[in-house]
Amino acid sequence: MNKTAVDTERQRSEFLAAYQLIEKDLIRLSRRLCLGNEDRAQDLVQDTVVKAYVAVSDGKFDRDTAKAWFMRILTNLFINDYRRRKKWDADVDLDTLTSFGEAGPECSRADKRDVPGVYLLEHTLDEELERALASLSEPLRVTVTLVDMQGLEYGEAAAVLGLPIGTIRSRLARARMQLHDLLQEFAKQRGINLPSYGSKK
Amino acid sequence: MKKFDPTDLKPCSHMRVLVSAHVDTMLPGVAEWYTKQHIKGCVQCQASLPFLSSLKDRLKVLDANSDGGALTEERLMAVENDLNKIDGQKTDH
Repeated sequence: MNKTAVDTERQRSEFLAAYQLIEKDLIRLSRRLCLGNEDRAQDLVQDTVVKAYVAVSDGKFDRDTAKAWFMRILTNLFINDYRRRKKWDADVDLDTLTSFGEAGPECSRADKRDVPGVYLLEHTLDEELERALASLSEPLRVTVTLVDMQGLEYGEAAAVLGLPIGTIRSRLARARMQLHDLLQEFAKQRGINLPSYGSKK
Repeated sequence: MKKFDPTDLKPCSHMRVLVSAHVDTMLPGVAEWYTKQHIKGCVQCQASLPFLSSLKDRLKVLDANSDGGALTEERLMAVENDLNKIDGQKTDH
C-alpha cells in the first residue's frame, strides 16, 4: 500500500469513527427537520455524510467540533435542497417522533405542581408538543430544534444557520410564545384548567 | 407594564425576547441586568419564567426520548460506494 492509500484509509476511519459517535443525534435532528418522514430523514443524513467526507478530503475536518460541523452541513442541506422541493411539509408522521399519549416526564412533576407554567407542561401530551412544534414555521422550528433540543449555544446555532445571534434570540422568543398559545389551546380543548396564582395563599 | 393576567404565561410583549434569552442565560451584561430589574417588578414576567424553563426541559426530554436509530443497511452501502468513489478520485490524482 502506498503512502496516499494509507493516509486515505486513516482519514476515512477517523471520519467514520467521528460520524458513528453522533449518528443517533444526526438521525434525530434529521427526523425533526423532515417532520418525521423517515425516508427523507435518511436521505438527508446520507447526503450529509457524503458531503462531509468531501470536505474531509479537502482538509476541512476538526474532530473537536465534529458534532456542530455535521449538524451545520445537515441543516444547510435541508434548508437549501429539501425546502426547495416543498414536499416535506405535506405530512407529519408523529408516530416516528413520539409515542402516542405519553405525558410529561416524571422528573418535571416533583415540584411546583401548582405553578401554572409548570402545570400546563405537566399536562401536555408528547403528541401535543410534537404537533405544536410541527405547526411552527420552518425558521422557528429549525431554531428551536437546534437550541432547545440539540443543545446548541446561540452562537453555534447562529453559525449553523448563517444568521446573527439577535435573530436566533428573537426567533426563539417567537417560537416559544407560539408554543405557549398552542399548548394552552390544546389544554383548553381537553378541559384542563390552569391553577391561578394565589390559589394556595 | 400591562395588567397581570394569571392565565397568560407569556412575558410582557416588549420583554419577550429578553426574558426568553434570560431563561437561557444568553444575555450580555447590561441586557441581563435590565431584564432582571424588570422581572423583579413585573408579576407578568415572573409568571412566565416557570413556563419558559419547563418548556425548555420538556423539549430536551422529548428529543432524548425519541429513538435516534441509524442509517439503513441499504443507505450505508450507498454511502460506502460514494466514499469509495471520492477516495478513488483522490488516488487517481
